Amino acid sequence: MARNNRRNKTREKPDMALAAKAGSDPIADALKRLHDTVAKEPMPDAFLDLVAQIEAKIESRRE
Amino acid sequence: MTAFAARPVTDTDVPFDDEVFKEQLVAIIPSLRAFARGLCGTREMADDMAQDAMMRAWSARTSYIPDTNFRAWIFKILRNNYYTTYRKNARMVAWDPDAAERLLVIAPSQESSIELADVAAALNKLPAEQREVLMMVAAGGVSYEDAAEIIGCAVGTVKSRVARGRTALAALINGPEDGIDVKLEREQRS
Repeated sequence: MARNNRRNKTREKPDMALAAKAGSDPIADALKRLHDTVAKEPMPDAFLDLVAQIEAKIESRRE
Repeated sequence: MTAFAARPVTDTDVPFDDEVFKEQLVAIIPSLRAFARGLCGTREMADDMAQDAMMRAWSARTSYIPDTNFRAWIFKILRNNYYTTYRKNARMVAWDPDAAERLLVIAPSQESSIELADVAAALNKLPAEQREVLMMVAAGGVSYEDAAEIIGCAVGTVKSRVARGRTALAALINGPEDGIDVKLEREQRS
């Protein structure tokens, strides 16, 4: 019993990425949701404009 | 040489397909924005940083080795530029206390135990070195090894920063009772 308690106290903290996937760590899970919320936002026009500029450069090199 | 290290371009290099590079660049935008959001104080600054990283990546595309870790390569560009700007610009050192509120515009969710606005606010109070590893490893699913490569440190250092960041974040979110580990770490260091 005492050995088990000691083992629990010295147990390593769980891998946060794995814990987030498993939903077992509320902090890791919250960070994952934070990331996903931003990642799922509609892409701002400035990024679309930037991609369009790159596409135009690629196109101009082809001609 | 690391998997995504820059290399000099030689005459014998096969020309890299710009179209493929552009597709990778477009695909990485959501992750890049999320990483930048966690690293920077404001939404506007984060998007500026992400766009700047995209432009720098495009300019340096010939130094990217195809089929290697593109995410790590461009995260490194963003991170390096962030710290360069951070050092140059004293305004960024003094964190805007209201920045966290602008970081995310999220309606409170009833089902979640921790509100994202609280996480964003707490994250913004952590040192940059802890924010970046938490956003990469815990939030973005970047491996410890890749995070170490991006930052330029040992894997053990990344693990240590993740653990410390997590403890500090928990203390900020849940209150002082979770700050015991932080106090102990301070005492151990002194």
